[in-house]
Amino acid sequence: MSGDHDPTAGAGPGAGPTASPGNRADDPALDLESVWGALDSLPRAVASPALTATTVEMAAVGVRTGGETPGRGRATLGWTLPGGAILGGLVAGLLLGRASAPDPDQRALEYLPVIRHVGALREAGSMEFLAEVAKRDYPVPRRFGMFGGRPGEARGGEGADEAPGGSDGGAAEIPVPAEWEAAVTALAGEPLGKETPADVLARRRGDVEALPADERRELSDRANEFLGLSEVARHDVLELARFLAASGDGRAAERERLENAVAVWHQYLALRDPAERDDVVDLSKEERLESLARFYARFPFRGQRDWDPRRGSGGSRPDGAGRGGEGTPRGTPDGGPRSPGPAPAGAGGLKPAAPGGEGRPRTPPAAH
Amino acid sequence: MTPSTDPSADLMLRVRADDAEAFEELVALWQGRLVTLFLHHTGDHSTAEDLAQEVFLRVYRARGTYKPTARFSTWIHTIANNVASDLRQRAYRRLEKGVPVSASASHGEIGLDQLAVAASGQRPARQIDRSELQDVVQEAIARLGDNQRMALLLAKFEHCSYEEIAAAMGLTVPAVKSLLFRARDQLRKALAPYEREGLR
Repeated sequence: MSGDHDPTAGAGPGAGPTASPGNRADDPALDLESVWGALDSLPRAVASPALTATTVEMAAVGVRTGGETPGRGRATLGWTLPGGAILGGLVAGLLLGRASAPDPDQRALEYLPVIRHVGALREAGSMEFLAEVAKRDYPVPRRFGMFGGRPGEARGGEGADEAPGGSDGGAAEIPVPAEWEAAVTALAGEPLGKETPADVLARRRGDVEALPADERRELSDRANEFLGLSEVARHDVLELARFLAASGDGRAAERERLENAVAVWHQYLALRDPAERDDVVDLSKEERLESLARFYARFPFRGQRDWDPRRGSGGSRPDGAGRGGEGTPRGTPDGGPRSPGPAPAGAGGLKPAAPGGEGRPRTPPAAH
Repeated sequence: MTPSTDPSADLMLRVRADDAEAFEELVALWQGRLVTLFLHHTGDHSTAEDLAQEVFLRVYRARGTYKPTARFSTWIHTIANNVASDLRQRAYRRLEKGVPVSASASHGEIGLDQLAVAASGQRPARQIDRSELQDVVQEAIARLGDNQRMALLLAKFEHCSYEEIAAAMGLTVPAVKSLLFRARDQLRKALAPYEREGLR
């Protein structure tokens, strides 16, 4: 590991030098040498190859305007917006590190599709989270008596606790949130970041300039939301957006899997107390997964798809009213509500004995 | 301090002047060290990278306030400790809300004494290989208190002096000495079953 280690480094500010070995915290004279030596067995970590690049990019993209502290650099970057700024002062933070940006709006315009759909992307979380949800193959949860997140999908009355497609085995529609669909549509094929061609930027600029005042304010609010994300969350949002922007080229299957995961997560959020939803969205990937696992462990009857794909559709309800049916492709709800089966402690709802260690009780890593 | 005695401080001064390349160099220079620090603090590589990234972004945000009056390492260690503290506080808040916290956030729930007993009961004193020793040491470190663990890691992996650790963690030097003594003592107890025959 490179760096500027100086084993004889001095003390902190205002303190005298500590070059004397006796003053060092790792002085062997302090005893317990063997324990100290045992620590040498611990590996030095190697950072991922992309860490530097993503960190630099996130710094360039994501410093919040409000979080900036006046410094010498601000003047050199030209933080004063020209009169023609279309998103007002909100874009200033997006310009960090782009001294060569031709105008203060460019950075915002480069990420405009992301800003417009930041809510849906943020709710979805991250590629990593959605992939993990997809792997767990959760059925889409729902309340008894209602379906989906979109008004047009709601079904009531008899059969309301049946899955879309229910006993007739017909094709069922996953209640993918409309906001997500809008994001998918808007991002498909859209260049993002520095690679955005000038003509696309010009088109986006025109779109923004054509917005009525109230919609421009709404866009500013979303820019605020985007800028207010933690660096990690912003990274996740951008990664997800880039996937959607590029998902037209033969990645439809992967996108469908993610959409199913989005549907699961969206419906799960819909079942939460509205006051809690923002907090739940803010959870780390591991906490989200654990939260889902606990939900499925407690409320298996809310599931729609058979827990064990090998059994095909139509799992048994807790009341024994199981339903037969044809097997359905992954991600398509089939038979009636069923139990996900016994859940391992701490990771309820995981598929048992799935390849790759799925179904094992998971010990989540550190919280964020 | 003259800039030439602290290459990282030199880089940071360039970052302060909005030199993008300098920031990239600084990240490249420090990322391995920070990831190592956080890896042994949290026990998870992915989380460690996230935290290291958070440190760099805070460094970048605060670049305008940087003054090369202290060693750069002390400054960045202070930020790293703050990031670790924030992680802990978020975990506590989630615990209060009933949201499950991670394994690392609940390290303190099992005492070192228990670990030592468990270790001695499950694994007879014997020579152990390096990978097994790694596991044992990591487990023992994970069960230290958060401040003990951070102080220990700064001392061991960053070769910080007591004064530097105290500055980074906002503690007094005697407090740091106490933390380190207790950390080592607890590690010694935890590793005792192995130490008798296996450790150097």
